[in-house]
Amino acid sequence: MASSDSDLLNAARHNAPDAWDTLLKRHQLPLYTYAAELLRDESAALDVVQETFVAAVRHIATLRDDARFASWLFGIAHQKIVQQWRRVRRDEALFVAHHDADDFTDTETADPRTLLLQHEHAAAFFKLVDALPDSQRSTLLLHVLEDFSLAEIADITGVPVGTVKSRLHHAKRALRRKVDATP
Amino acid sequence: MNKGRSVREHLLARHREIKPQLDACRRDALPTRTFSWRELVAEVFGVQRQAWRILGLVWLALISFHLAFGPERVPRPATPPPTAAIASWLNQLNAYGSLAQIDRRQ
Repeated sequence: MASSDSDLLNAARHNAPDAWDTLLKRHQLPLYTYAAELLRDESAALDVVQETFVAAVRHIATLRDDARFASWLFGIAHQKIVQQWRRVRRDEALFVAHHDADDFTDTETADPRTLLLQHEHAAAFFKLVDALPDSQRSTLLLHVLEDFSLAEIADITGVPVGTVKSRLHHAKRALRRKVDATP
Repeated sequence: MNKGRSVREHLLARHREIKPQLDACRRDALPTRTFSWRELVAEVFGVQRQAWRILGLVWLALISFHLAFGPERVPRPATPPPTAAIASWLNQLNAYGSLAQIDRRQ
């Protein structure tokens, strides 16, 4: 039977390499996917994953709620990605505000988590995702990859929940618009 | 029928071939086990606690049995009374003194 993150964390806190191995293995691919999709650079994404793992092992004592291990891990990775962006002097303005607004309804946009894609349409879909601003792409990836709640995404990305809501809404709407415009 | 896959599945599939490099990253980040007496004691006595308890009880039973039904102790020879011991010692001294006188005369 697979152990829960909490059980593994108890062992990991006592410096058990086996527990760490299982725990990190469980999250490595989603974590890499998140970094690779945002950085579009395989080697930089691998660096982010490695640095995230090292930081997690070193700073496990700062994790207060075991149930939030995944979002804590993604939060570390997100910080490393932002540092990487700064390093390559990308325009940070992309990550600031894109029509951020706290009050709107989100009923007219489909949930990308439930969207099923045929293989031949996947490449075109991800091309559309790639065209989104970084802030929206990051929010959308966290939403789709790990099914994080709005509050968790807010924690990971360090912005208010309203901003996350807004980014997600605009990402979905932009995708919808692009899909509709595609013949 | 091809039902298609979720966005998450497509996303993960796009990066699945990176697994060997990710495994290497993970192994490099793992903490190394350091020696600690506390862990050693915990491993030796903590893991098979029930077995150690049974072993302890067996030893107690053996000791009790030995004390209750073991071979009878051989009584120690009685020590001579102090006065008799002192008298014997003085006799030896006297004998040594007379031998010394004989030596001097020779």
